[in-house]
Amino acid sequence: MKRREFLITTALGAGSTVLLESCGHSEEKIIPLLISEEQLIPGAEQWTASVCRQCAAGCGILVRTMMGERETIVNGERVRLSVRQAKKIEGNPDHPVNRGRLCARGQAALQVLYNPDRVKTPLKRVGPRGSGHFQPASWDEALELVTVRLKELREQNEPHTLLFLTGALQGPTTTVIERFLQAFGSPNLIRHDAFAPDPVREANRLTMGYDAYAALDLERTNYLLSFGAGFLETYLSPVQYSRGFGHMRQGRPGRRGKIVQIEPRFSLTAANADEWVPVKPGTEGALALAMAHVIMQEGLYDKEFVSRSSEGFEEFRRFVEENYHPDRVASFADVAAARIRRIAREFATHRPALALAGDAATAHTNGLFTAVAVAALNALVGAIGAPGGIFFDAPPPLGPLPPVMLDDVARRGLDRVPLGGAPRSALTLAEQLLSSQPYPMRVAFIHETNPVFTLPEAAKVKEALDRVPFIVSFSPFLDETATLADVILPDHVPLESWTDAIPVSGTGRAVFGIGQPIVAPLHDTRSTPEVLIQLAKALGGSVAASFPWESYSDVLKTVARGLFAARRGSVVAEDFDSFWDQLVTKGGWWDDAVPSPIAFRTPSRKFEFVIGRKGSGIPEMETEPQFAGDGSDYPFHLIVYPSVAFGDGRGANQPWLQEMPDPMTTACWGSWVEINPKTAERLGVKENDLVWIESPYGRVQAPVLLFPGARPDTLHIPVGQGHDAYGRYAQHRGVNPLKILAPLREPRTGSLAWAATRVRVSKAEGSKRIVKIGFDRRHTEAERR
Amino acid sequence: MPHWAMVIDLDRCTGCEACVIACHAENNIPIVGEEQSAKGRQVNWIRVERYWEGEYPNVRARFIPVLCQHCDAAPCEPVCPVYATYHNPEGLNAQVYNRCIGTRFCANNCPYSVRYFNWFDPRWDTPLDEQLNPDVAIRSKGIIEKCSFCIQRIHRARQRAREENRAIRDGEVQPACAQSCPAEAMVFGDLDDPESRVSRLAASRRAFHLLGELGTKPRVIYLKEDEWNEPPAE
Repeated sequence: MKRREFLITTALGAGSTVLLESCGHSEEKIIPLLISEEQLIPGAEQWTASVCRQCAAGCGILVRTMMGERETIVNGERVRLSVRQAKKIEGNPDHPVNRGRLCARGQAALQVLYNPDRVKTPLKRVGPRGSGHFQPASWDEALELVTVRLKELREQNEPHTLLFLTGALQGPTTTVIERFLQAFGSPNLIRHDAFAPDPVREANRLTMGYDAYAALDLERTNYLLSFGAGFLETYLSPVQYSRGFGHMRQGRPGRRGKIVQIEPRFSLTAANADEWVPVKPGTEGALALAMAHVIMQEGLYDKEFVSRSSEGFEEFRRFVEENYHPDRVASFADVAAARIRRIAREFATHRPALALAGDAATAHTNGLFTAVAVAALNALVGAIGAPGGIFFDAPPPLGPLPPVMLDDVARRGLDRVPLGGAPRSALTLAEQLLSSQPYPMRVAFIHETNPVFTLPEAAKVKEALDRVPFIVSFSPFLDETATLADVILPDHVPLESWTDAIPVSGTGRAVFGIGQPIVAPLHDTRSTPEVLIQLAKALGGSVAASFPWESYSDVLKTVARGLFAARRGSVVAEDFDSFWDQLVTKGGWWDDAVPSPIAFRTPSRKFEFVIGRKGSGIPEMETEPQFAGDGSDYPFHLIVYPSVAFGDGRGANQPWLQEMPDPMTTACWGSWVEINPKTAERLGVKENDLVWIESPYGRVQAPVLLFPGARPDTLHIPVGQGHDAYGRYAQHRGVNPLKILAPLREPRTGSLAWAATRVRVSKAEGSKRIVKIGFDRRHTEAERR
Repeated sequence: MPHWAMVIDLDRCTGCEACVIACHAENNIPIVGEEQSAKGRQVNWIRVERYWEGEYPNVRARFIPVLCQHCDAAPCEPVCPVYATYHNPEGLNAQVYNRCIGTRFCANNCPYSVRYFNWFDPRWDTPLDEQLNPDVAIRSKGIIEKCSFCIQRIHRARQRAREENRAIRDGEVQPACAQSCPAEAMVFGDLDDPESRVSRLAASRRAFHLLGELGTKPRVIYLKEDEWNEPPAE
């Protein structure tokens, strides 16, 4: 062995043990990544497939790796190691979600991997909770701390007091989490993704029987009517939709589709639409029904679809005729009746047409009503299951895992009433934790979610979590929620570990994305599903028996057997080993594209026009929006919005995204409040003046940005900044407007009504110059005036 | 010999900034921080300009990605006293970093404001520097840098083609911005090949040059159509 090789082997010793442990025995995939210096060719590039995990869209990616050097200290001696480094991320051209394309956040995943502020070892809390004082611990020590607590719960017959909070991810990682909880004996798995349009999903379930988001056939649509959905920004699957948008606009010679964006805020999506309708906040559902009124009255609806495939049309029609005449809706929605009629006619006569709801439109207390109303529009124009309309994917045919072993302790635990209400909501959970009802929780696991940052202060998430005696976080970063933990078991970031994703939004066919570890872990971290398997083994008994795998990659192989057995789709092979090889090389499996006529899964097996039906069993659905804050005291609507750069705030620790100009304002590195220039004049404030934005629940301070696309009665603040923790690039920069929102919710789904808070504005001391990029000519003129 | 050019379809471009970050990742573009950004010292080889039109509620915003236009009659070239910026045989406006002495005459003479001066040596917090692309030089203090049409990618494609004893295929070279663009608004290719996608798009009735009246003969061609018109009834 040469001296250099020896050094490398020694230095990689610690890391490679972790990697091998965490990735099991699939040497054929793992060992090649730990190539010794002699095998790496300087300047040669290699592209490896994986999936993007910057949001839940599940885009396929290719990661470019090359040989690079890392300076490190081995046995007191400074050495330069040759290591494989990730250099660039591009979209995977074969992947049906993004077809080679990628957004800014996807590109920036490299700065998650190489972020200087990662949690580098397991940590245990030493100061008071929330103080941020932690001490490094070994994995053995940290896992022992957790195991002791877990054993205690089971010994005392209280396994149900283990809470698991996770994000929006779907796929085998979640399966491992669910399985762990089941075997352990807790029904308490709660998912929290701040801007997930839960009401849209619920509307799909009520009207069509699918508890899922639909695939949108934008490429073939001629007329897209979007109620609030920022489908070119952060809504569900923006890369997929942007591609569809491009095609709809210029991909079909001689045919240019029209997009109408109906929302109070002039968003990036509104800016790209052909027409923007600045509707009064909370009236989007009524507006949709006014359009339905026109379409039905003028006989422009798809009579064949309605008579053949729908249920409750006559009741719907009567209800709409009685309550949603365009003239009446025009009086409160701030949209002229003539315009409602024109858009309704255009929509119904330029088929294939498609209606879409989401973001601020469904983030009201009547958000479900809006989503159901928009679903009805789709039924009226025959957009469901038709080209240019919406579809639902079949789930990928993943292989089953062996049944979970349950002992008596687990069975009793699983019989307990789950927390979070039904459907599960983090807001409801917080209330229950505070009141210790129906029972107190003793251990909380928190994974890929940061509710302390993404829920209003009035929801008291911090206080609620403080009631849990022992908190374990899996976060690779010290975010606001991880800071409350007693023990941190830092996860690998996706480029270091086996990863998988089932896209949150449909693509028209089943998709399963998978990624292998691409670079050796930089720090002493471990993959979370791996840690759960380890914990299960340490617990012994039926819990251990439910996890008969050496590692997480074995779980992935088990589920992949189902795809192998399907013998169709993008990967077909003679034997499983070569199937697995190809699956991992290609970054996933996707079904053949087949036109999928829709099979409704409602009780009637038809589309159900839920609205107006007596005894439909949905009494909680509110038609009128409620707002926090009286109109006279709080004259403005506040619309917060997930920013293109940071999403719900998780991108704020990536310097590329911090320096990326916000598309609409060209501002970066901070926060601002967008105000209509005339309103600002009336208030006596200029651009960059600091103002207080005050709701009944709190106030934040931000500089004024004169925004021509703001309604005179509405203010906007982007979400993502204002972190109290989360590393050097994010911390103490700008404000978090989510803090001052009212804890109002859509009653049926329990999701936060984040567009339902009213505010007032007052001048604060001084000013803060908003950093803008490029030539912002218009504003300069306005300032001069 | 190819003559490289880019078409940007503004009817497709959404202004999402994916191209900007893709360019940062590919070309080792440093982050300068809030304070220096406020002084206008950000480096963005490609930036998305946004223009407002009209007043509420009839307001519009338009986006236009602006990068080096690789002008055939480039105003930046004749003013460089040391020939640091020159036109290469394939039509690229190239910058030779180790010739540049930082007079900034070129930046001053560029009507598109796409030449960036390095006010300080770039710095990356470790280990962010592990991401740096070894194919692209890191620029030091006191010199001008700009979009290169990802010349390193052109070289790679040429190398590959040579190894396989063939010509570079249309679409084989994609600068990082065009590769990433979610709406597929950017197309790169050889304008001398009449069959290339870029040639066909450049012949569109929607084509125009940015500040074309200046006579700079840009190699970036923009496409833009009028508003949506009601298609004839079927």
